[in-house]
Amino acid sequence: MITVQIRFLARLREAVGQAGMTLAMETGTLVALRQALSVRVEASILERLFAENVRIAVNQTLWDGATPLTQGDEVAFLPPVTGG
Amino acid sequence: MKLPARIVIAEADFDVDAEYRAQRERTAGNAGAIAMFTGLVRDRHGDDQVAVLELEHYPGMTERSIEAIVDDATRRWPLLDVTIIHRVGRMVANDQIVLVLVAAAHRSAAFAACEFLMDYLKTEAVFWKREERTGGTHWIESTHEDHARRRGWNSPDSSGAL
Repeated sequence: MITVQIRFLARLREAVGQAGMTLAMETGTLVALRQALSVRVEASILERLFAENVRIAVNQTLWDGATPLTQGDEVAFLPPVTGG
Repeated sequence: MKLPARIVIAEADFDVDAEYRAQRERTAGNAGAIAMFTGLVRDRHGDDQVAVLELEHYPGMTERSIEAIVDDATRRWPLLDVTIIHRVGRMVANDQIVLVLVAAAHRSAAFAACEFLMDYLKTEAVFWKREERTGGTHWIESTHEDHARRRGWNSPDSSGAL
């Protein structure tokens, strides 16, 4: 069991209704992340978090989805970006 | 080689004259060209009036994303100095959003890198924009044109954007 800090940015923060949460996970996999979040947010929100155009950053670096998450990681859900 | 780059993300407005003078001083004698771009808030989006533009970032990751973009530009052109200032928070029409200043020995590198940096800021830098319009609040995404321009820099025979 590990615990990670979840952050939701921009429109995803609005969708979830909070900026983040502390999340306990069985293991550090992408499947475990989705499973743990599925009991914390509504199904429609979960779909938006794992949509194709959403990127996940771990400790502020884009995650490949394969490297296992570890205790205390900051896991951020990033909707499509635009600056300038 | 790591380029001297001034990267600032702040709520406060910036002073173009001061930034330009500072870059001239840092590159004095070496720079033959400084190219500049400023991005401004428009008062409309389609038929809607825009009251407020709100810029959000992810502190830490946003800075690193811009550093990566500057590193990429440095590998492509012989640059002397780069300044990027990007504002966050609430802005209204005609406010300055972003400043890009690029110094090089010759104008071709300065022009090209300035355009490249903006195309990448539009599509790669970690920012989000939300407009408060007459028709409600809308999150803005980079456009197909933004992405096409960014891809243009990676085509084999391209020395510039589309």
